[in-house]
Amino acid sequence: MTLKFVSLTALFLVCASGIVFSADNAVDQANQQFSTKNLTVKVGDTITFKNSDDVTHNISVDDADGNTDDLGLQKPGESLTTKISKAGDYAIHCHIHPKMKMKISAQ
Amino acid sequence: MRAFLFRRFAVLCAVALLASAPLKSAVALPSFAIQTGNPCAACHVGAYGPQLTSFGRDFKLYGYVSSDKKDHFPPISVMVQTSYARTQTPETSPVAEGYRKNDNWGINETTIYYGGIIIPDRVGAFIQGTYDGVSRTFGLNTSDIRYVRDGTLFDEDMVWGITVNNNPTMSDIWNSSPNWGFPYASSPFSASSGPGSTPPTTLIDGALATNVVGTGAYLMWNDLLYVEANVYKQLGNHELSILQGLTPSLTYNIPDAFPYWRAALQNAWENGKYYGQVGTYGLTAAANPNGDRSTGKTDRYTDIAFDANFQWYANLKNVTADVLSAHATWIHETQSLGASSVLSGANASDVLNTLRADISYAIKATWIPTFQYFKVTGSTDAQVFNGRPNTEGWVAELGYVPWGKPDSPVNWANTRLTLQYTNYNQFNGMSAHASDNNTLFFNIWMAFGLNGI
Repeated sequence: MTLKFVSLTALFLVCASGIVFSADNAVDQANQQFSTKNLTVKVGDTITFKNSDDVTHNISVDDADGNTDDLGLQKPGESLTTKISKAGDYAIHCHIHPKMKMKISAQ
Repeated sequence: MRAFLFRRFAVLCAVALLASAPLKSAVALPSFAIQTGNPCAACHVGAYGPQLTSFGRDFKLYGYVSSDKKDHFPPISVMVQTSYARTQTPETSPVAEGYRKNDNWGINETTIYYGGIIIPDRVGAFIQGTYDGVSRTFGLNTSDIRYVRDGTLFDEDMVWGITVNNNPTMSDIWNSSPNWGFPYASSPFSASSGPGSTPPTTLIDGALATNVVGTGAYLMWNDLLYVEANVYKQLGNHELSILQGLTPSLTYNIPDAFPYWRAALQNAWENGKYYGQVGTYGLTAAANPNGDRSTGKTDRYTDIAFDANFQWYANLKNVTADVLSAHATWIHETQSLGASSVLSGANASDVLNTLRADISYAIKATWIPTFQYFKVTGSTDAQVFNGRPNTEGWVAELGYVPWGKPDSPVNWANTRLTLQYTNYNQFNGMSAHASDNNTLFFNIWMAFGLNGI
């Protein structure tokens, strides 16, 4: 009984710690701008970009090594989610709207 | 990549081989809409242009290369303009063979454009070749090719570029300077003198369009400060006859290279809901009147201009929301007539000033009423201005654009209908009979993007 309780408690703590480490961050695209220019997240977090404009956007996520993750075309009303898998700085920009830029710092 | 570039280069050459007399013609290109995946209304106030929204200015600033990253056919567009014009008093003679002294209808312009990417993320172009239905000539119209880079300067974002173009103010991103200012279309049947003619203009106000070529650099820093400097050189008669399809007849024969400058401050408030800009631009050039160098002297023209723009957007999330726009420019030209004073008895110096101010309200990017006030003042000079150039009046216009919006049936075609009336209270120094030049103008402007079909 005690062993079962301890095991269940340990399992709960592991699951709970996983929930604390992974969060979803929301970024809105409205007025052809990102809702924030700088975002700090933790490795493993996800970022959901919502297109609140009535025009298409096309976001890319560039890491510090020059790798680019093109998230593809995003029609009005659509949301796209990307996961930050490693620490570092990321530059986010829209290919269609050149002044739409933001930075993400993952720790 | 090689095949992509070769395809684009071949198409560019085809477009550049067309040549025409200079025409004020530049609007929303469907090829831009197809390249970006955005409707015309995203870049253009009133969904047709050439009046630019904030995104439209950015699109041009960043070299016409913004795209949805899809593989499109080379960015070719075609535009056709059909116009009707009636002046209050008929012109003394028809503007060209096949036309009448008044009440003229015609397909006055057919233009093929290369508008968009040449090299992804780096080089883009706005090149137009026009068939002028009045002069019946093919020619290269005002065009602009850009190389662009962005980065930071003093820890702030900046974008800079190199432009090659064939008209001072062609590279401008504001609708207050001559190449892009209102009215965006006007009667192609204007006479050279008498009823139906137009008042004198400064050198920077269109006289050099397509008969010069220039290059320079521009910089927008922190989305606040814009500076640009170009150098232009007038083309020779041989080059002009090829590019314009006719024997050139230049009012200003400018043998030496001459500078053009541009500086502006801009800002947006409440996340871009309000936008404002103030700036200056100008040039200075020395000319031989009608090519005559016998005096050993030249006429020097120095144009210094100031301009301002304002926009208010009802809803920035909606590209078809109402937009209020206002533009103003004042051009001051000093003419030091060292050659003309000897050759024709003109004054040793003259001045010519042009003021234009307009306001428009785009309703749902569909109906666009516009009102403009204009005034020209200058020296009394019988040789240069046939008296005084003083002219004053207004233009009222209603535009209708049914398409170019997110819910339009196609994104590769668009059209603009324009009904315009120009009223003169004073014309070339005279108030009497100024109204003889009053003009009613109707225009149908159609655009097709071949890369979207």
